[in-house]
Amino acid sequence: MTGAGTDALLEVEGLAVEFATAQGWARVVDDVSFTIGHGETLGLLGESGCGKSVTSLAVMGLLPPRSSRIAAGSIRLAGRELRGLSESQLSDVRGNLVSMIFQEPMTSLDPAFRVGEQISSVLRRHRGTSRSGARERAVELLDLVGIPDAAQRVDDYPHTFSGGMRQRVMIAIALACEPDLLIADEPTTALDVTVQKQILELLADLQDRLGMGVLFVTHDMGVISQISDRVVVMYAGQVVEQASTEEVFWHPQHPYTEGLLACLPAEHGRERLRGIPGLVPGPLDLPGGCRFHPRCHHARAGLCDVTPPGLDEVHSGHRARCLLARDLELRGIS
Amino acid sequence: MIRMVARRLLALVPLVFLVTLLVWGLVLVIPGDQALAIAGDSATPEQVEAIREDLGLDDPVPVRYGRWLAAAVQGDLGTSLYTSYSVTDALADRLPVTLSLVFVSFALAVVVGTAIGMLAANQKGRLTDRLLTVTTSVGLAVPNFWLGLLLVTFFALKLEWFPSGGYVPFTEDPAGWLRSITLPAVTLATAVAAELARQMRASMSDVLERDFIRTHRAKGLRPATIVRRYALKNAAMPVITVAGLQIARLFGLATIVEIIFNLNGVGALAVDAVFDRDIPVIQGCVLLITVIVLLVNLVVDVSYGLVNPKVRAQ
Ligand SMILES: Nc1ncnc2c1ncn2[C@@H]1O[C@H](COP(=O)(O)OP(=O)(O)O)[C@@H](O)[C@H]1O
Ligand code: SF4
Ligand SMILES: [Mg+2]
Repeated sequence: MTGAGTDALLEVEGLAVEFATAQGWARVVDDVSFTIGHGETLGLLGESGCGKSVTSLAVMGLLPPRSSRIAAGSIRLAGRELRGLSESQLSDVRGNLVSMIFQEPMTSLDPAFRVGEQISSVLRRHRGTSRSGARERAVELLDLVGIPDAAQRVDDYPHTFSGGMRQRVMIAIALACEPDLLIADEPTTALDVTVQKQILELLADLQDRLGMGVLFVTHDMGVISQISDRVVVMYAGQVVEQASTEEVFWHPQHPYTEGLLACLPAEHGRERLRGIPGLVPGPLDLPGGCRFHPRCHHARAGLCDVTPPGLDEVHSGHRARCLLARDLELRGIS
Repeated sequence: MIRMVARRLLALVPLVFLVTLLVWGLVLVIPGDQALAIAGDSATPEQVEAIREDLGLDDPVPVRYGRWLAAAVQGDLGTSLYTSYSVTDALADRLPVTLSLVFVSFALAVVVGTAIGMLAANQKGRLTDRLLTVTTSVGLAVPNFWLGLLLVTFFALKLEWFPSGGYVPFTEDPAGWLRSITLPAVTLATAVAAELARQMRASMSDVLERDFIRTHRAKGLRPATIVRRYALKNAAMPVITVAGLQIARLFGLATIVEIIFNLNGVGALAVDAVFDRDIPVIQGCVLLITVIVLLVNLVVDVSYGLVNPKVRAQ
C-alpha cells in the first residue's frame, strides 16, 4: 500500500479531521479510508452531518485553515501525498488535477463576473491559455455541458441562468482542465427532480467521454444506485460499510445501510418504508462502543455499547463496521 | 448604459431648478436690507432708495427670481455686494482650489481606506486587524481642525517639509501644487479614509465568506488574485455608495480645512460672504457646490452600475 507503484488514482488512508470548538478539537471525520481507480465512480453516502463534505474538502485542501486541521491520515493523488503541501502547491493541483462542484449552484458562481470569464480564468491559471483561446475554449465547454447558444451565453452573468444551468456552468469550470478526479458534493440535491436527472446523465456522459475518476457525494440512495461503481457508507464521521454498489444494495452488511435501504420507495409497492428512528449524534456527544448502537435494531446490550467495532472484511471486497456482521441476516432491496 | 446616464442627467434638471429656488430664497430669509448693506451706514435714505430701485428690489418676488434665474442660466450670478467683482469670476478663481483639495483628499481616502479595509478583512481577528481597527477608530474620532494644526506644527513648522498654508496653482508649479495641497488633503482625508476602511472591512469580510470564493479557490486561483480581482469587485459595490456620500461630506469639511491652511477656496469664500451678508456670493457658492455634489452622485451611480451587472442589465 505504498504510494508509488499502486495504480489507484486517489488513496485516502486513516483520514481524521478536527474542528476547533469551545470544548477543544472535535473530531468530525475519523479513520476514513477509501480508494478511487482511474475512471471509477465512488459513491460517498450518508445522512447529513456525517462528514461527507468535510472529507471532500480535505481531499481538495479546502478546509478552513485555522479552525480545522487534518489530525491524521494521508491523501495520495496518483501516488503523490497531498497532505502537508503548501497552499501554493495545492493551488497548482486544484482545478487542474482535481476539481470540485458543490451543492449550491445558486451561490457558487461569482455574481460580478461573466460566466465565460469564470471558465477561462481557470484555463489561464493552469494552462497559460491566451485570453482569446480561453474564451473560445469556454464556449466549447459551455456547449459540452449542454448550454444552448453557448456562443452568446458565454458573455452573460450568472444571475441570468437557472439553477440547473448554473450547475452546468460549474461543471464546465470543473472540467476545463480535464482533471483526473472530479469531486461532486451533492451536485443535484438543490435541484428539482427532472433537472436532477439531466445533471446526473450529463455527469455520467462526460465521465464516459473524459474518463476521469469521480467521488460522488450524496445522501440519496437512489442517486447512488444510478451513478456509482462502488459505495462507501459513512455514519458519524466513520466509514461503516464499503463494497460494490450491487453488493451494498443486495447484501448490505451493516444495519445502518439496511436502514437507509428501507427508506427507499418500495420497487413495486405503494408504501414508503420507515426512516431510521433517532438522531445522528454530534461529534462532541458520540456514544461509546458502536456509534450507531442507540439507533440500531440489532444492538446487543453489553456488547455493542461497549466495544467499538473495526471496519472488517466480511467477505472479499466487502467491509463493514459491525460487531455482528457475520451473524446478522440483513435485508437488501429485493 | 448611455441611456441610463442620459435619463439620470435629465432627472437632474428639476432637482437643480429646486435648488435654485432654495438658494435664491436665501434673499428672502436672511435678515437685513441688501440696499442698506450696499449703501453703507452713512448713506442717506434717498441713496438707499436709489440703489433699491436700481436692483429692482421692490419688484414682486417671482419677477426678481425670474430675472436672477435668467442671468444665472447664462452664467451670470450677479455681483458681490462688497468687492463689486462678478460672483462668477470669483467662483472660477476659487473653484480649482476646492476641487484640488477635495479630489486629492478623496483619491487619498479611497486608496488608503480600501487598502486598510482589505488588509483588515484578510487578517480578520488577528493582531493586524485589531491594530487597524484601533487606528480607524482614532481616525474617525480626531477632529480635523486639531489634526490640521498638529500636522502644520510638526511637518510645516518643525520639519519644514511642507508650507504651512497658501495655495500654488497646478498650472504654475505642479510640484509646488502638490506640496501646498498635501497637508490639507491628509487632514481632510483622514476621517473619510477611516470610514471607507470600516466599510471595506465589513464588506470584504462578508464577501470572503461567500460560496463563490470557495469556487475560485477550488479552481486553483492564487489567493492574491482572488482577493484583488474577484473579492474586491464584489466588495466594492456597497462601498461605492458610501464613498459617493463621502464626497458631499468632503465639500462640507473642506471649508474648515481651507480656513486652517489659508487656502482661498470656495468654502473660505462662502464663510467670508456669510460674515459680510454678501448674498449673491453666498448664493453662488451654495449653488455651485450643490450642482457639483449632484453631478458627483451621478458619477457614483454610474460606476456602481459598472461593477454591478444586475444594474447594468436594466
Ligand atoms: N466549518 C465548520 N466548523 C465546525 N464544524 C463543522 C464545520 N463544517 C462541518 N462541521 C461539522 O462537521 C460535521 C460533518 O459535516 P459535513 O461534512 O458538512 O456533513 P455532510 O455529510 O452533511 O456533508 C458536522 O457535525 C458539522 O457540524
Ligand atoms: S455493532 Fe451492534 S449496534 Fe453497531 S451496527 Fe452492529 S449490531 Fe448495530
Ligand atoms: Mg455536505
